[in-house]
Amino acid sequence: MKDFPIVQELHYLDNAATTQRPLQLVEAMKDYTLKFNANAHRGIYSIGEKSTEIVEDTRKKVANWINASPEEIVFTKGTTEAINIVARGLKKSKIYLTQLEHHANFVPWQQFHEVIIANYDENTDKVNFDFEKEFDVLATTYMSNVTGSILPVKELIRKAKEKRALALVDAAQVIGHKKIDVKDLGCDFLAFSAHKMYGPTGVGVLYIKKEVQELVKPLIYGGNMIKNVTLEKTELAQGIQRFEAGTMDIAGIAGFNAALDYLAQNIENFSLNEEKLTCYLLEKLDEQKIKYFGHKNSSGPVVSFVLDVHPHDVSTILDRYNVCIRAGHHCAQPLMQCLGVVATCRVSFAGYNTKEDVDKLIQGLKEARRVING
Amino acid sequence: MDELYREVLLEHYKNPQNSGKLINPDIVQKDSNPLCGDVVEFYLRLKEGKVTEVSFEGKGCVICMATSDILSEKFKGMSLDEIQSMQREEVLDILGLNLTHTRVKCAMLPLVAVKKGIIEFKSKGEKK
Repeated sequence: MKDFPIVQELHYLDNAATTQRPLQLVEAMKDYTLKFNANAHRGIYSIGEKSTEIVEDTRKKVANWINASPEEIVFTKGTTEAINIVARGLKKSKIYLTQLEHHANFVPWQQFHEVIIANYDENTDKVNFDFEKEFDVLATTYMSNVTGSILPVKELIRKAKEKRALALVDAAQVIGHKKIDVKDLGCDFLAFSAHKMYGPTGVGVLYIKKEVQELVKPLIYGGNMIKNVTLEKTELAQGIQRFEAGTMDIAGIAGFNAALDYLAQNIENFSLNEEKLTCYLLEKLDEQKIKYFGHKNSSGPVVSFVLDVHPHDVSTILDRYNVCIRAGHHCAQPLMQCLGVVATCRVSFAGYNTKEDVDKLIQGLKEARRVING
Repeated sequence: MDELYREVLLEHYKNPQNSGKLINPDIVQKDSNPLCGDVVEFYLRLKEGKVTEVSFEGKGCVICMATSDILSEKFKGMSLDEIQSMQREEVLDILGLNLTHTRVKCAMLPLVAVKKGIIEFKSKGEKK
């Protein structure tokens, strides 16, 4: 893949953690930094205006990408901050979560609200919801970062809405693989990170539907989020501006802009490639009699597995083959408890991966077994 | 390749000499590494301020388990103060390994656990 020089030599299979960045993004960030660096929404001079333009153009592109309006797009530093804005900004409520959640969509709710959990059943690869239960907010992942399981989010939100609950979707894992339409989903909040869709780290998005913006108090207070400040009191700005205190990562947003263009051009080919590679990997794991989790229902290109070698040792040995996989609990300890393991090995694909990456992985796994178990 | 997985370490991993529980130990301490879920529990018996017997139980990677076994042997005959003054460099020297940042944590878990146990043991003594 000529657009991603780093993967020429590397079998990078940790894309659920972060994706690699195309040259087009590097150029955009460089161009911005060398030619236009200035604070956005402030300076009334050419490069200041240009910075503002870049931020607002990116906001429009994000809005188009998920079928929202630009007035519903808040820039954050990532998914975690986006979810924290909602979890800390809503009044104390009863939250319905799933056992598949990443800690980012679990810990903030657990800290400040009452939570109830829909359990994951590994045998059926399904989350068992009970919509007889009372709750105020459904906060669910779209796709698990461990098993790759894709939840029937639209259907879940429809049921939540019948109970007049709010709905938040953690789209961090799905956003780089599948187009999302917030109107079709019917969610009130959607959170994701640029760096899982070929963009830079340090930039994320919170979609907040217009009708519910007033229900959420800002998380961070300071410059740029106010209407008027006097010695006695501060009147906050209206709309999304309230959620964007302080200076943003504008170079990152310029990079994100290029990444969105890149993904728009490539998402169909990329997701087809990822699907084929996932099938190929599962076949190879079966051949090696290596146990993997989930993948019995609709799933994305993320596969967790365990073998008779500790995941850390597997990962260290694979590194010698230039194969990068993830080893650990993947910030999903409640799910690990359900799977009955403390850690797994995880492979996650992006558009630039190839069959050769999988072949190298399998070769490395054989070697790990040979080295450790003899 | 395998400096990291050379025979001597794998031998400690596969056939640890100091695994198991002690009956009536003076110090028992469990600790885990949240990153990878490695767990160790150490048992120490003392006589006249020195460690006479050490054993451990645990589940983890080669580095963590082999280090547990090697350090168990090393602790025997040491005073509690001597163990408390042991630093990370000393552990890495004993292992003879050049570990990456994340894997250093695997190697340090056994010493971290035992040091915690010693602090607990000493604070109990003070209360008495």
